[in-house]
Amino acid sequence: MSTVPLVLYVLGFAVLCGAVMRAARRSVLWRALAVLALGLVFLLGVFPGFRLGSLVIPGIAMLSTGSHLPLPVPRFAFWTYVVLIATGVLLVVSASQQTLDEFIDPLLGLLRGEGGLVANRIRGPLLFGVIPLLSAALVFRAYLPPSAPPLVGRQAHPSIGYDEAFRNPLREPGAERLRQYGGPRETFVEAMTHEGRHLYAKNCSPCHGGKADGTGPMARALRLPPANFTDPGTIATLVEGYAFKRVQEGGIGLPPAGTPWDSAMPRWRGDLSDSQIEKILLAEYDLAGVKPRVPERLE
Amino acid sequence: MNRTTARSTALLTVALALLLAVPALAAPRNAAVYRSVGGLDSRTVVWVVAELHLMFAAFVLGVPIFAAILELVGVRGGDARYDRLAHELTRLLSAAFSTTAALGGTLAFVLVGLYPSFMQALGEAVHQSFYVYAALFFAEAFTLYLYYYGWERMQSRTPNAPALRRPAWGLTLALAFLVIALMLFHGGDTRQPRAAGAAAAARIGAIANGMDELVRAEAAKGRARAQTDVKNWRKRIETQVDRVAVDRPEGLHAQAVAGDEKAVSRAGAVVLGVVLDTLRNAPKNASAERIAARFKHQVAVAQGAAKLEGDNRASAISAAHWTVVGAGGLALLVALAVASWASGPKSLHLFLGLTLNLAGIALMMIANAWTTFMMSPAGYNEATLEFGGTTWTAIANPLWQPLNLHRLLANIVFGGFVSAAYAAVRFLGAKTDEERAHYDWMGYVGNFVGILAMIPLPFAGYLLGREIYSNSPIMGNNMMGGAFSWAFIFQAVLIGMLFLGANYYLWIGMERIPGSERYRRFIPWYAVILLISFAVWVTPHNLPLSAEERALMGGAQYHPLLKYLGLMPAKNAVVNLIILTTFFCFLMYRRAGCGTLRPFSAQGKKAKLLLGASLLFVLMLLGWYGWVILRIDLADISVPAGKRWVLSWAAGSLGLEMVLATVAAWLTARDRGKVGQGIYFAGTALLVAGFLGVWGFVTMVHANPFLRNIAVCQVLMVLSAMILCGAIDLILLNGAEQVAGIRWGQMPARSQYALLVVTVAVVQLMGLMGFIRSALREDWHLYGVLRDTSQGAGTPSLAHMSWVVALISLVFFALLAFVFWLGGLSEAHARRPDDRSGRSAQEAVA
Repeated sequence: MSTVPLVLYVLGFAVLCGAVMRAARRSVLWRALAVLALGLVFLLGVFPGFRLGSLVIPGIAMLSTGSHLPLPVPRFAFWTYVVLIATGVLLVVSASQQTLDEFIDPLLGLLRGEGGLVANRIRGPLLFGVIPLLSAALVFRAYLPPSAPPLVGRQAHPSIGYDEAFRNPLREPGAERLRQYGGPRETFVEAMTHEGRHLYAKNCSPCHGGKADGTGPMARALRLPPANFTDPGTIATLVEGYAFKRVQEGGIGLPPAGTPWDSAMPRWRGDLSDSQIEKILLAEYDLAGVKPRVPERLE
Repeated sequence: MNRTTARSTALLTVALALLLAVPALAAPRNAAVYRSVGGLDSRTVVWVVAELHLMFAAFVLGVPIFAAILELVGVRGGDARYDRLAHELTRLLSAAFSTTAALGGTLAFVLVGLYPSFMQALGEAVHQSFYVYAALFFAEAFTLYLYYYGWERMQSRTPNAPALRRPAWGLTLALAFLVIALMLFHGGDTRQPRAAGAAAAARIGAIANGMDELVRAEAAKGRARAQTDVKNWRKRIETQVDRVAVDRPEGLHAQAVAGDEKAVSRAGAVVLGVVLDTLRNAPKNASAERIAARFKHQVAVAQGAAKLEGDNRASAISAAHWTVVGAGGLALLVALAVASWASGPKSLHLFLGLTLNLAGIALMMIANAWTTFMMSPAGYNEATLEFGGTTWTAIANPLWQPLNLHRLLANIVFGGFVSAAYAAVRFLGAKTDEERAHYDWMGYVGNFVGILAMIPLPFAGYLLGREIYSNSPIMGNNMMGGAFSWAFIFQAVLIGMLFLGANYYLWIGMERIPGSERYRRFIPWYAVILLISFAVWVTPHNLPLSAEERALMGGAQYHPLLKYLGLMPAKNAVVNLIILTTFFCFLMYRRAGCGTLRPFSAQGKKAKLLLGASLLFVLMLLGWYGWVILRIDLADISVPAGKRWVLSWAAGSLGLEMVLATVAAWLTARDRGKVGQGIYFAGTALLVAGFLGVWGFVTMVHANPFLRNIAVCQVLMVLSAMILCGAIDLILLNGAEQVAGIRWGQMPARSQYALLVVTVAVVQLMGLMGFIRSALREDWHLYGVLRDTSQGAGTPSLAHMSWVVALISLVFFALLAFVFWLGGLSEAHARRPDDRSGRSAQEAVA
């Protein structure tokens, strides 16, 4: 992401904020409306859908992803922020009687026909035309059968029972195992990792990629892309027992508590033996350049 | 009121009888008996009753803490208002107390009735604590009623025995030092026996490892042959170690754990004993494989016993230590009782308040031990899952202390806000200005107490979460990344509501303070900071997306920008910023009515002492943690070597914070206290939210496990800012000129509704968090030990959870309203003849 357009975007929004707030300084009501409008611009952009007309979040997201079009704020986040901005405006306005009066009086004046907010000549069309029509449109919209695809609230690391005492026996080999192998621990782990790389290349890399970054040739065919193991929020934040069970069970084997399921990961139990999975885990963490999480010991 | 007393005594008796009868009533454990009542889901029944009991208990435990403090403030400062408020709060308390007891009794009923097998297992481990609980219950009931009914009678401050006062207080002070010393100086190292237990288990494992093949070979030879070999082995062993070793191998790990000289050979003897036992008792037609498997299991049992023995020895050391501390504490209490009695009835009354709180906190701690025992059961043999620990092993389980701290603070928050809600309702229904003034002030005090206890609460919650994670990575993952991660987003929304509501109440409250106009113009800026922080706080890392939205993002799992807001560094930064802003708002509120501040040079010795002491404390706190960070062994926290710079920068920020603190104190000493505060606040905000917020992301990439320590740095910086700026504020405002008094009672209705909203949020929050804490066990009664095999075992969906929590909150408010109404009956009756309380309110306000 280049810095110059980013700074321009932020500065542009700051200038816009300053100008709008200055224009709205004459009353509390206008200031409140200006803040709401600026909030919407912040979230939606000025001309949603147009590359240059899109300020702040959609625009910065566009720049950061290298996309050609602004990236809209997802619906869930959008409404969360809109509710927050509206709540904030109402709280500040009602924090003192004086500002509350300044906010409400023009609205009452509008209803009573005392003027102030808008000229009397557009009062009638506004009160009896625009507002009822707007309400009707909203009601109509609410009653339309939903056409938007549903939101999916996924679990990042689905609940899945596993053996807490699990330690990869190939990462921490016992004396017996080393005796059988007949070499030092380092060579043993290296040899196992090497075998793991082969297994990984054969079974995992089509989706998770040769660099364990989730960009294998099959990745684009999946609706939810495969995990990028180099991201510190994935396997690095999980203990190895979890990763082991997740490979064994895949997406299909997740228990009900792990719903909603949203994982194309196949179930490897039956196709790969325990020790094969252990080798793959060695290779996977090694490729991604991360280490499994070790639970902290607190005294 | 007498009828209330009689009723609650009856309820108490029933509840206690039931608790004592628990072990007898429960069915045998193997059967795993489940029952149901009225076709209802047993788990939901227990859930609802337990949560209601918990909510009332939180109120009953939280309120006396600040009632006692308010009474003390009243006595020390000579302001009668505080005494009256404390009395009024205690009246609410005595009404709620019997409801708590009734709900506790109901909880015991449903547990014994619906989950007899589980109660059997629980009773097996902790039944001795039931009797202590019962005794403490009596202590709390009696002190509460003495405290409440003795209020008017114990107002006099004339000493009962003037001559005895000095020696008695002297003795009390000496005993207090002694108890503190006893607490600090441990009788023995508890880690040593634990380590010895683990080492003995490891030895047993190492020896058994080599014997595995041997057993298999012997077993393969056939049973007759094995028998003769057993004889040979026996002889060999007998020449090496004493007979006991062979005949009673189970006693040996104890000696091994104790660090016996022959520990190694004895641990070996344990294994040999196990071998003998395996071969001798093997069924006639048992295959070699089966015998080998049996041997493996037997070894695991012996290892489990060795570890347990270590735990039990460690727990015996800590139990002995705490018994001595407890004995010292009792002696201290007796001395304090004598000293208070000698100083006069009011002092004795204060002492009663203290005893009431001690009993209440001890009760809470015992109940906490039961619930945390369910989450992190201690004292079980890993291989047999049989309980072999002591009651103290079970009680002092890993999650006990973190939950004690978290619940204690949460109870004060809960008590504060529920009292504020009570005041709000009374304010809205008040008929006179005096009443309005009184309830306005009461609501303010409740809100103040709530905020004050709420500020350290996220830290305590963080500690509990960390301990849960280190105790069980499964639970930790389910909590933050799995089935409960969405419940934590709900929690974030409710916490945000709490802070916003409490701040909003302060903003409106400034209006009744003449002279506050200077500060009110900053309100929009506070709001901007709070709302931006809130927005970051509630944004989940894993946003719910539709397929269309995901396609627009190129199929990515996370939004390219918003994903950063969902990560731990961002959350830590903003929650600290919210706390800092709230504290800042509170200082503005305090200062709103003040004219010229009194300069530091005009202040006495006390101010100098306060400034010096708080600066020293802050420097020690920050310096200590900086030192801890610099001494961290990178391998210990599994951070790659060569990443020390990540730690050094964090330690450096602590150093900078220390410089800022010194500058702030120096400026205060040069009569520039306001500038000092400003610099320290701004600097802390920049360091905590700006620098460490960003540094958290750097840490995530280079030294992920160190992120936990970054969180502690942020917490310590915010605490330091609050301590030092709070101290400077006390100094500046001491003797400051007041523009005019606060016009109590001149509050718009919306402020009171804000208090009610905050209270609803607190109640919902407690319901939600109670659900999470308990449901983290998933389908286990005792996590990892006793599985719940009943029909209702399973994690409910979020929708189901929301409905049940909403139901619980509604029932709680309905019950609370009823109970408060009951409590108010006697007050209405008492007031009618000569309207005493109205007049005293008027006097108080005047």
